[in-house]
Amino acid sequence: MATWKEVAFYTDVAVLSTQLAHDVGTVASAGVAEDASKHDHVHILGGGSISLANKLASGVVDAAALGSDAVTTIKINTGAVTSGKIGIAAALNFNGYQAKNFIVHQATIGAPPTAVVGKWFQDSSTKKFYVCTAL
Amino acid sequence: MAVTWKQLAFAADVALLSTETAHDIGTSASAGSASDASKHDHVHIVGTGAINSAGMFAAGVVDATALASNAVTTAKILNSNVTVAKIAIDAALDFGGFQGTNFIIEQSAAAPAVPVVGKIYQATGDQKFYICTIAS
Repeated sequence: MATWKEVAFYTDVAVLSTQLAHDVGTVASAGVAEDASKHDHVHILGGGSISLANKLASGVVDAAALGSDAVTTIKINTGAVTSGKIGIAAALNFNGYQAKNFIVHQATIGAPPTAVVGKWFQDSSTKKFYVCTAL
Repeated sequence: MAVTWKQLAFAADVALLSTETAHDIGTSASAGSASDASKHDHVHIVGTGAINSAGMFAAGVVDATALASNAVTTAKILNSNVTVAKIAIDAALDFGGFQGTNFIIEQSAAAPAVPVVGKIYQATGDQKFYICTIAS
């Protein structure tokens, strides 16, 4: 069987570009160039190219991705640091401020908390107040 | 009809369309060295480590949804940045045996409106120290 194949006109086909690939941006485009990308071309992400929160899948910014000291005051929502999030690992300096609505540790003299000089508690039965003065 | 001559392309002058997977988005732009072309509907994926500078993010795009649970560990919080307004005590706070230094007893002219057994205050009038032993 005879075979006829179309030969492309030169102006109808693309030549391969030697220009740098355009940065990934925020608006998709078919482009206007008349040359084609080589298959192994590499794009880089352009400045601000990740411009919407929904570009990031849920949870992709994990602890490893966050820089040390990246979370500053303005990044923390008011009231977001709840009791369970606080881990006292050193003396907490109140800087001379009051602890309002502070409740003394409730225990019993029969089962007191671990003794530390200065530690206090209130006996939940007798309501008497105790302070440790020596170990 | 005007006489028209069109140049025909030799096979060596034109690109064939590649069937290879598009290269990952990287950190170094490149023109590539292949001799075949990408199809216009090719899709790139973001390569490992391709997002390597903060400047690639617009302000605020790393929002609460994007942050993984427990991602904000101690090392990620700048010292002294958890200010009082950010703290919401919603359960007994365990001091873990550590001191509350420079601690000031609540100062109040009268007994607190909400008594709780164990609540303490110092009266601003007579400076006496009070603890609630019966709340109701």
